[in-house]
Amino acid sequence: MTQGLHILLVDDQPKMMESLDFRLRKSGYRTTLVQNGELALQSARSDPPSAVILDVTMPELNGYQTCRELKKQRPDLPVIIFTGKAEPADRFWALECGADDFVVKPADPAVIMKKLEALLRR
Amino acid sequence: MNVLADSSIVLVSASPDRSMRSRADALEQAGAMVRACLLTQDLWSLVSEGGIDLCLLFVAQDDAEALALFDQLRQAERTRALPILIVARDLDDAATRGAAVVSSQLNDAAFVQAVSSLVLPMRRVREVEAQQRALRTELRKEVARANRGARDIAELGHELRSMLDAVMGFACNLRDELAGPMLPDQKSHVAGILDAVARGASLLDRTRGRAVVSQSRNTESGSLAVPVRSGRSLARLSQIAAEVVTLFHAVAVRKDLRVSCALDDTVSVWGDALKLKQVVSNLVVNALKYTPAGGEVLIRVAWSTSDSSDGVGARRAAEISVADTGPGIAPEHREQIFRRGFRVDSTAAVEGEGIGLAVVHEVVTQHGGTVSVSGKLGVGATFTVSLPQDRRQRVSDPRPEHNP
Repeated sequence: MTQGLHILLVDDQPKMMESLDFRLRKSGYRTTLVQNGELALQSARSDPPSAVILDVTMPELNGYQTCRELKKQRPDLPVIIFTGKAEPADRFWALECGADDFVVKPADPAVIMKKLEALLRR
Repeated sequence: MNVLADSSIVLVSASPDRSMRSRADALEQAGAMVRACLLTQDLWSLVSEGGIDLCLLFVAQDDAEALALFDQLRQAERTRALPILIVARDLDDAATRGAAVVSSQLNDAAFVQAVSSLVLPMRRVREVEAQQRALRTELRKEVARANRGARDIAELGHELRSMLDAVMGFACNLRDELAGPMLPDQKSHVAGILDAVARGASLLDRTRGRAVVSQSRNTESGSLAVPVRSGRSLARLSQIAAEVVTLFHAVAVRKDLRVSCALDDTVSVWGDALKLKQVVSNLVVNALKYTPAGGEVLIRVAWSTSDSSDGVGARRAAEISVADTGPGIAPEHREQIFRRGFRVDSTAAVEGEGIGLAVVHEVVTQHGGTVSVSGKLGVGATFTVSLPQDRRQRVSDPRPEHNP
């Protein structure tokens, strides 16, 4: 069921996405990891993903701005914002930029998988 | 101890004469720094230089000019606190102005003693003023330091969360045997790791919760503050509500929610405007969070008459209410939702630690008010904050910088 589904992971510290990347691949997803917003947009254009998991604190284009741009390209592209920034304000920037879900670190990756599956089922 | 040593004394007279000269000499011999000047012009510039411990005003017979100068000095802002001693032959005129006077008939030694007794307390005052200024500067530095510390903590929190997540991610993968089958001892080790991570995360949540409540107006960057005393002022609730609505306007539009307001401009309370804004924010945030698309959120600010049982009679209460067309709150949850950590639906699509309403409750209580929720399950919820009207019924902020 996950075959052919391509997940784009964006985090300026790739090691932070390593365990999630491992889990995704074990579950049969194809994954791409990029380190900043600009690369995320390029990758999304050249190799359209089924969903994006996006960190917030990145240099130049932050996660919220990247999300906005991704949604402009494809409004129905599922985007999960996954971040250590846990202020109430951050939740709302997430909603405001169009993200479909907002997960605060640390999080059980099994939960992220469930959220991802729910979004992909739509 | 020589009281007059290094004290700065100004002698003022319309026409300096021999007697003034001999007084000046006597004072100088006692260690004072003496300056003499003719009326008005020189005096003002000396005053603006500052550091005058005492002003000796020589008033001759029927000297209307000198007495007029005294009146001027007492009325002007910058000289009101200037210590003035009138030296006169005829004491009545001066005394009727409530001035301290010393007779010009005194010999030099007695004159110097009289002056000394006045200079001493003035020097103490100046010392204390200087100390106060130093303390104020220190305090400003401390506040800045505390704010920097709070910012560092906030950043550290964020970094730590990412680190903890990395640990959690790998441990969960082991737990779920994605990296191969696990022996029982290995599983229990992993459980131990996850337990420690959970405790670390909970510690971070608790710390942040406390910091949010003590947020103060003194934080330049609006970051979390370690407890710093925040200021109270006259807070116009309609203005606060309007600001919050503007803040979340884009979110409401995106979620296809209609936000309307009924705001009474006259409603104000004496309180911490920043904390009250946090309260309104948290309530509006919840309404936007839980109301499905196409729904409505109504924000109301109005006076209400509360029956006061304290014998003082009915006192008005300022009410802020946020009503939505969301799922509503079940009666059995209506008290618990204001407790830290409580979440009605822990599988909700948008994460939360359940502290928003706890913060609301805490701030409202600090202001002597109450918060409650009403409404029908399946129809919507209305959160109402009721704040007692200031007993002194202040309707305008007495501090000049707050009056438009």
